[in-house]
Order: sequence, then structure tokens, then C-alpha cells
Amino acid sequence: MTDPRHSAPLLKLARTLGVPVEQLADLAEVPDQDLREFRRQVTDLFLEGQVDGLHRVAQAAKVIPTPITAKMVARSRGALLAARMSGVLDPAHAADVAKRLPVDFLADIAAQLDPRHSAGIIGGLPEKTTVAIGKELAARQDWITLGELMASIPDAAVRATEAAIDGDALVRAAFLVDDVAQLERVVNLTSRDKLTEMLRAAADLDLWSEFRSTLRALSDTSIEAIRAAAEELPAEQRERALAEIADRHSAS
Amino acid sequence: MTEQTLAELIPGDLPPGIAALDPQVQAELAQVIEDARWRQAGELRDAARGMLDVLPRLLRGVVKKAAGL
Repeated sequence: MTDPRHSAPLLKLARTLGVPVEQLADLAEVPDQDLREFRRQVTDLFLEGQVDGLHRVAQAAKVIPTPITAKMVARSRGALLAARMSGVLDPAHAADVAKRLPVDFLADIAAQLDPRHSAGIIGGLPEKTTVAIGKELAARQDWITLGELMASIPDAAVRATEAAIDGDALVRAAFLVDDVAQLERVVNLTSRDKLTEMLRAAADLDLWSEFRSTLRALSDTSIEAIRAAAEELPAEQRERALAEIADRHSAS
Repeated sequence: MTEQTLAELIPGDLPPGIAALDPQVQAELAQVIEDARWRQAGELRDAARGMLDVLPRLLRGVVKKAAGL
């Protein structure tokens, strides 16, 4: 039976439901695609019951000066409300409020964002703020949110954030990125040195299970970039990395 | 509150892998979802009240009017 702790879609569903992943062990054999769809349905169900109240909050926010809205949001420390508000506010207004919030609270909010709508707000933040949020998420070991952050920020911010984060954090976060096109984009923006660092982390910390999942999702072009990065490793690690790349489509 | 089945609770058709789960597992999952929904509703309500508490008195009337309260 699949260990639920090694299933990215199950880990994300558990996050959405606010329960430990072990509580969803009975769903471990459900196909990944079905778990992703089910998580979307659950998120929609939650939003459906909240939308009227949130639209009222959005209407109210329109008449409050942005610095006061930011102060109110920061003082309330309601990360879920702030995340939900960002989905109903005009993205430019939401980003303007977000710019005034402390980084640790922005990391709390990022963890509550619906990834389908997060690009609007996260993409509107200054690059240095995005990098700071990424570092905070890595320090918290919040790999789900870090993966979603990397998948939703512009290219320049991806480059700056990956440069500021350790290789092992990137391996763990990449494993949790659902959108293959975004995963491909992030890998293609990652420097060869950082890809080598990721491979080294996979070897040192035995993260091959996570890395294999990323390797399986990538195109041949991206795999070539990783193969080139593997050439920089010491002999023993290089052999293992190249074997993992070659065997990526075999059953684990 | 009347308990809803998972299929009644979730908008749209359940994905095949979820629909095929044992009815007992589906019932437990429906309960987890309901619990999370209630928890989130409470969290949102508390945060909204907390925000209003720090709203300057001067703006309360106009904000209430804008929010249709």
C-alpha cells in the first residue's frame, strides 16, 4: 500500500482539510488525478459557502484607504480571511495591501491561498518580498506552499528565490508542484549550480523518492539540463543520479 | 443537522477513484469535510470581527453601508 506521506496530492488534500495526512490513509490508492480533482471540488465547496460574506468584505474594503485596510488585516492576524479576501479584491488592490504586511504573515497567507488564484496577488509583490516569503516558507519547511509559490511567480522572481533557497528545499517543494508546465518552467529557470545542489541534496538526504517524481514529470529537454548538472557531482553521487535519470520511468 | 453523503455534499460528480471508496470511508471523509467547513467559517467570522474592532470609528458608518450591513 502507498505510504500517504509520499503522495503529493494526498498531502495537499490533507492540508486543505486541515488534518494529518495519515488520517487519509484510506485514500492512498486513489489515482493522483482523482485526488487533485477532489481537492478542487472541496476547495470550491468551502468557497461557495463563504462567497457572499467575502463580497461584502470586498465592498467594504473599497471605501477604506489601503494603509488602513493593511493595518486592519495585519492586526487581525486572520490569514485565512486575508487569503480569501485576496480572491475577491481587485488583484492590484490586493497586492497593494499585501505589500504593507509583514513577511511572516504573508507566509501565513500564502499557505491559505487557493493556488488557482494566487498568481494575481503573489505576482504583484516586489521581487524582494517574494524571495523573503520563499525563505520564510523554507525555514518553516512548508514545502507545499513553497512549491505553489514557485509555480505562481514571474520568471525573474523564480530565479531570485531559487538562488536564495537550499537545494533540499527545492527538491521537496518541486515534488509538490501539480502543474507540470509550471514545474518545467521552474526547472528551466534554475541554474546548473542549483540543479547540482538539488541532486547533491537528494543523494545526501535520500530524497530520491521525491526527486524521481519530478524527473518523471519533466520533458527530455529539462532532463538534459539535469543530466548536465549531474556531471558536476563526485563519482559515486553522479552514478546514482544518472541511474535515477535513466530509470525515471521504471516502477519505484 | 441532517448528515449528507459525500456525493450530496460535493458539487459535481465525484471523481471515479473517490466514488469507488467504501461507503464507510466516504462517510468519514464527508465528516472531515464538514468539520473543516465549520472550522473555516468560525475562523473567518472571528477574523472579520477582529478587523472591525480595529476599524477607526470614523469609518464604521461608511463601511457598514458599503458592505450592505
